[in-house]
Amino acid sequence: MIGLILSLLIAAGLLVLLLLAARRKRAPSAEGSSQAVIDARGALDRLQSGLLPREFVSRLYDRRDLDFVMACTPAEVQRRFLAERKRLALQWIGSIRNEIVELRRFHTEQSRLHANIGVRSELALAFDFSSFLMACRILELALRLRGPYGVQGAVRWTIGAADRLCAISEKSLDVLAARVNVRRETNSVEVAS
Amino acid sequence: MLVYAIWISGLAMELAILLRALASRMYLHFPIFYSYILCVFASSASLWPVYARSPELYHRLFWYSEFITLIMGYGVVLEITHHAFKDYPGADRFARYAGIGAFAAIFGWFGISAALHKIPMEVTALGRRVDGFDRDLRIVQAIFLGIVAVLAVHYGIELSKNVRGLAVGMGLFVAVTLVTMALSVVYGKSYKPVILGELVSTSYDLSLGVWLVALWSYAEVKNPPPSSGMKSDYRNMAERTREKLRAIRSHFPSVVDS
Repeated sequence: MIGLILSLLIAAGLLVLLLLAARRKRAPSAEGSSQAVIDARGALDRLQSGLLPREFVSRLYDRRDLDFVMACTPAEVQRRFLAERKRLALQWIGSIRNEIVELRRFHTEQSRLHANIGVRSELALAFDFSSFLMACRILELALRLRGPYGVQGAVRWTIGAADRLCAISEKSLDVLAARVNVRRETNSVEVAS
Repeated sequence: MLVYAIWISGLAMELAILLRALASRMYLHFPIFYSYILCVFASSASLWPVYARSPELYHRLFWYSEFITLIMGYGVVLEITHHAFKDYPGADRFARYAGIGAFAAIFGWFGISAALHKIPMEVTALGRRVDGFDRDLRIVQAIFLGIVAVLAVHYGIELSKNVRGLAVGMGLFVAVTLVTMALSVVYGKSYKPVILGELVSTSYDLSLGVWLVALWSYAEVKNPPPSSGMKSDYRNMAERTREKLRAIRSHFPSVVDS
């Protein structure tokens, strides 16, 4: 009976996957070019300097602001403060997710063209990206349910994971930028000659 | 009567696919697939008179032809993989390794089961044991096709109309056969509703219809990737150089006139 259930699951999964793959339309992109590197570098910069700095994140989730507002302001202001902080926190996590999706798109568009792709590292990266994006979704849900001051542990974990992904992407970008520069020089020599 | 209707429509569609391949020279692009269709067509056409005279003999011979076409089906799956990832060496390498891994894992498991006498491997024996063997081979085929689909989705790879049709048609047939074989293994010969046998034949006819439409003419992907980043960068740079040349050339008439 287990074999039958497994066979049914495999058959259903296969059909769903094939329909997903068949429906996929790909927009033309500037993969492998300097534009792709610039786009990815932009996403990385926005993450590292705009969304992940510790002082920014700790300020966003700092309980001292909450304590001050709770102690010194009327109920209406407290309500609006909490609503505003929640909106900001949700926007923050949404922006992080968008930039990570952009980095993943860049990575897959590059790696699919490389004959010397590392299967193990690709699997690890795919797992990292997926687990991080799932964590972002969970954090978003927790923010909606418990507000920005009830999820600080999850926020710290998210920042740590995003930092790790940024470090990996940065290495990959450095390698690629170097290669694009080499290509440019080669092309210049070809045109000049 | 229904059996013959499905059989005839299947033969007619196989013939149409083969004739169309000759007219459009599609067999040059998908040689394994057309060999597979030719093989299925030949075995179906030759088994028909046998079925009319002796269904018992037909069932015995059917398993041999089924096994040959099943092995050729693996060739079709490899052809799908080759065409899907021909412009993407990274994804192609990934698919190869994942496919070999799945193949080794399933046949390793199959070998261990056989050694422990859980699944006897006597191909000549009919009934549940052969169904089990067929089911396991179909599972490997399904996993191969699944890997192609997962990689195409993960790497955002657009499949051409031909490859899409090949993959969906093959997937449909493999999925239905897999479920039928699994049912047959669990419930045995006592469980043999007419609809089950017709379901496989009908799904195969449906797959033939998909293949006939999808492989009517050769189709490339609409947005192929640059063969390397160098190509697109080179084009941009060459265009800029051309613009500069045009600008320089535009000064020439005045120099000549003067």
